[in-house]
Amino acid sequence: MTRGESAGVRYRGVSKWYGDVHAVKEIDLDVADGEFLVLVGPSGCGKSTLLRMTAGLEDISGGTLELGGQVVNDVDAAQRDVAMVFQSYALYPHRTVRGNLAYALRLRRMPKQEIAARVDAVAEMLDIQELLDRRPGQLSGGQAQRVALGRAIIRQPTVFLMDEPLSNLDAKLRVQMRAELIRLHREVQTTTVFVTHDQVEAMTMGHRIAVLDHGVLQQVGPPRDVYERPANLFVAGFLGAPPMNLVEAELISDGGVSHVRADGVWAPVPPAVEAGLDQVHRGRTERTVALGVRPEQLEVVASDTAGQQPDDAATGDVIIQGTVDVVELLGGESYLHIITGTQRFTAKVPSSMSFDPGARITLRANSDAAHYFDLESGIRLDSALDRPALGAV
Amino acid sequence: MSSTETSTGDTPAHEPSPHAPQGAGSQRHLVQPLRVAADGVHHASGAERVAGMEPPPQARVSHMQRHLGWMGKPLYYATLIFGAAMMVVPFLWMFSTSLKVESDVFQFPPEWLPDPARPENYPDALTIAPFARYLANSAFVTITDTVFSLTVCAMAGYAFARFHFRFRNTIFIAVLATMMVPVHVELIPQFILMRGLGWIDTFQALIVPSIFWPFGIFLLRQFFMTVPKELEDAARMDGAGHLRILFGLMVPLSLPAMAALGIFKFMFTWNSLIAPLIFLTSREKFTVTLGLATFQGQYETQWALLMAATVVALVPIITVFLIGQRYFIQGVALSGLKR
Amino acid sequence: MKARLASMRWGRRRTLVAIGLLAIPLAGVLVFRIMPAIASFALSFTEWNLIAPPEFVGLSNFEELVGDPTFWQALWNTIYYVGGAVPGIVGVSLALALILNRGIRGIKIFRTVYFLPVVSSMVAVGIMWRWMFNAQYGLVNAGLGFLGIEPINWLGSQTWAMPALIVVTVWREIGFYMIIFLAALQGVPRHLVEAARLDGAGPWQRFWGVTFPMISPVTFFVSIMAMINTFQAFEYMYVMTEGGPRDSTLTLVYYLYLQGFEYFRTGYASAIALVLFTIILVITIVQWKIGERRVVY
Ligand SMILES: Nc1ncnc2c1ncn2[C@@H]1O[C@H](COP(=O)(O)OP(=O)(O)OP(=O)(O)O)[C@@H](O)[C@H]1O
Ligand SMILES: [Mg+2]
Repeated sequence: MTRGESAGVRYRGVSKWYGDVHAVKEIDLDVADGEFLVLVGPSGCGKSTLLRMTAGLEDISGGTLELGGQVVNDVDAAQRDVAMVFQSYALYPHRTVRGNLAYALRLRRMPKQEIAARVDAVAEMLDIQELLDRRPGQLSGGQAQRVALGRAIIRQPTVFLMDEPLSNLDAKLRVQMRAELIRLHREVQTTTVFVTHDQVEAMTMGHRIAVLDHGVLQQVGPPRDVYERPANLFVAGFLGAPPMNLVEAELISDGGVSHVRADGVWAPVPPAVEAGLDQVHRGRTERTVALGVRPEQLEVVASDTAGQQPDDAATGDVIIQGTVDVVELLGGESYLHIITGTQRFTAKVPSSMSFDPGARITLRANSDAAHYFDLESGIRLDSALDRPALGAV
Repeated sequence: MSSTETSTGDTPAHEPSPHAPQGAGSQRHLVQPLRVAADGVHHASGAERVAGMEPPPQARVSHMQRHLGWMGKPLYYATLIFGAAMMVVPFLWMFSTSLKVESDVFQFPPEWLPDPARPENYPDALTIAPFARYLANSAFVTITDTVFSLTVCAMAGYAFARFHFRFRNTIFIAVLATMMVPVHVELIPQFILMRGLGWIDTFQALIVPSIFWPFGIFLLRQFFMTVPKELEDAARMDGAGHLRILFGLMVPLSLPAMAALGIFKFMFTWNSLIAPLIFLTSREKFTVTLGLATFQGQYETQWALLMAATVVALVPIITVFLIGQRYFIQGVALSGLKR
Repeated sequence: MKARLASMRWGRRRTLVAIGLLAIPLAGVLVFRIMPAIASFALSFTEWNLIAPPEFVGLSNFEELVGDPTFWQALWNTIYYVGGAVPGIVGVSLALALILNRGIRGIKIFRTVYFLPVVSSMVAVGIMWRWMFNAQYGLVNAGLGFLGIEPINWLGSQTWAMPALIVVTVWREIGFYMIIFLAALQGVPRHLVEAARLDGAGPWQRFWGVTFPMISPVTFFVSIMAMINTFQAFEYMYVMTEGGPRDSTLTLVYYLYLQGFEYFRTGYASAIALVLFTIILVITIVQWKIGERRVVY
């Protein structure tokens, strides 16, 4: 299969209004030629809308959209040379698999032999040769998914758009198709925008992920960066399963090491965070922040540590003390839910350890595992100096 | 929606169509469209079950039957068979008469088996009046009307189902409201209109007014609304224009409705008397219904001949029915299942 | 601001396509359905023989109608006909559907047989039954004679002509409505009937207590539909009795036809049409109101 000409996608202040509903808000985003970009966000945040605007299925209410350097706001869907894979697959029920694959090419009046050759090539690539004469009603979910992919690939478009294409598959198939999609992309190297709200897909599939919430682009970057340095409270809470532990804590800088403290929680605060807080708060006196620690970064230091106080262990680590509430066994690892006064934490621990509900326990994490966010604007405090405070705008 | 709109059964409640006219009276067939899923499989509704061969499995052992025990069933069968006999006897009697010599017709008590048989009644009837011509005329008028009507209804149904434009609901209600006006009320103005157009004694006069069929528009709109939007999007991405989406996607996916409508239309037009009666004047244009009515006016008491002519007039439509039975019955069930 | 502009551009394109799709259908509906309906209304205030120019005569057509005994006869005949045919159609078709819904074998054959008259044209059915009802040699009288009943001059008698037409009507229509009832019955949830059975309800109570209320909207719909159809009866009268004997089977539509297309009194015929339309409208509305209150679940 030859590679079609690929193209980058550039969003400049792209907005969508449905009547008075501002579904997508001035998105600025560049998708590089050949890149695999994953678009994530909660339900209703505007992912599909953005994708459909890219496809030409929805008109763009504001801003410009460029494909391969051309502004395509007013170009019809059929002329944009992008292909889309739908969540429901949207295979034509009355056509065979072959007919589904060939339809777009037939409409483009491609010669018959060429169509046949392309159908064969795509069928081989996706291993669906045996299915060519079936109708969509006779396909399993995974097979239908492959055909839907095939229908997009066969056109050799400049951009692939995929709207939660794996969400209708069962867990096992999803893993398999995920790998297959990655392989396919490596093969055809066509720019791909992939919408999902699945954690694992978001983390594993793309070169970069773009997080969307309420129509606003929250953060764009390589998965690892976004995961390790979430730009704000929303991204921190959204990415990761189980989600990041987030607690409200008071910042105390009393000459010694600045730290935050809450019920059973103690954590050191680096200077950048403090500077960020000053910047964001602009002289407000109360010093409450959101502290975040990922469950997998917590480790158990001592069971049954009754009587000890967090600040006794002022080693520069994040310390959490509480009582074991529930232990969820997931196979190789367990989720340990603990309660510290008014807060709840989850830790991911090896299943080899066993805990009794009600037991006192102490957890620690490295100081760099602590994320700090402004409670009001949600902004990440140690980078607040780099960008204007969202809340202050 | 009024209380009568509530689903009568376990069929999934179709979203009540907000545009259906509240006052359109009895003709408010808020039909329960067969739901077309993305995989194109129709989820069985009552209408389809009726159209199918068998009653639903649960219906097989019924409470009444259990209660009545062994004597229930025979009673039912006796009633049904008696009823069926009442349905069939007139046809058989007609057929029997059509094969008799005129003198045998007048026998009392009547004889069932024609003796001697006189099949020549058929060629006689066919030569006295040009029935072959009548049949051809009917076929032409009916097929043309059906094809154009389905096309027009599909176009309008698609526009009402999938496009948003100003006054859409008002226009739709106006179209539906015409379903309430009895055709006979419109006859005289239509006659005057046809005269003005110079269409008297032409087939257009029969076909054109009949093409515009509000019920068809309504039914197809209901069906098109159930076609998943993503399929349409996929077709657009593949490069299909609106007409192609309509005829290459919406229509094939609404085949049950199209078939039911087509068959209704075929039946109505084929059997229609009043339009040919007032619009046609020359004999060689007559449809078979009008031809038969006229024939009986002339050979009122030549029963053998008259019955032969009636058989000739009935055979085509009954053949069509026997072939497309499933769709006939599905169509009827569809029209009544959910208003 | 820019946002609004862009969406208008797109919106207008869609509107153009919609106009393209609707132009022919709407023009057709307007010219061949809506305009004639309005014209019919207007014509009823004129006197027009289709040759001389139409003449506005105000309400005189309606005045004439009120004093026209034939009109009243036609109105009465129509009511008689509808009143006889509709209960017959609804009752028989419902009964047949109930039986067929009992898990009867050969449902397909019965359905086909009962549906056969539905597809046959009214003209053919009328002719066929004219022969059935023949006074001397008809099968109906033969059957009655078998039961010891004297022959009846069905279509030649002012008393019996209308009942004969009602029989024919019921005979032809039941197959159609039976299918509708059958579809409705198959939509009645089994568990409701079963629950009533567990509560100790007998078959009769179950029918009136559960099944009938569940299908009452359909019964209601079928009644209106049958009523509207029978109110427009014309074909049987045209081929079987020509409205006779002595106008005893003259219906409103037949009278309309005579006035409009035999005597070319288009204004007068339109006045009859208006009466017909009004009656159907009123029945629809009245039944609607009743139905709204009475139809229960
Ligand atoms: N045609 C429409 N008219 C009005 N509002 C709409 C329309 N389509 C979407 N919206 C609104 O726009 C917002 C974004 O919708 P969108 O479908 O893009 O969400 P999404 O991120 O794809 O969600 P999901 O993950 O559930 O698919 C939602 O609030 C939705 O209600
Ligand atoms: Mg979506």
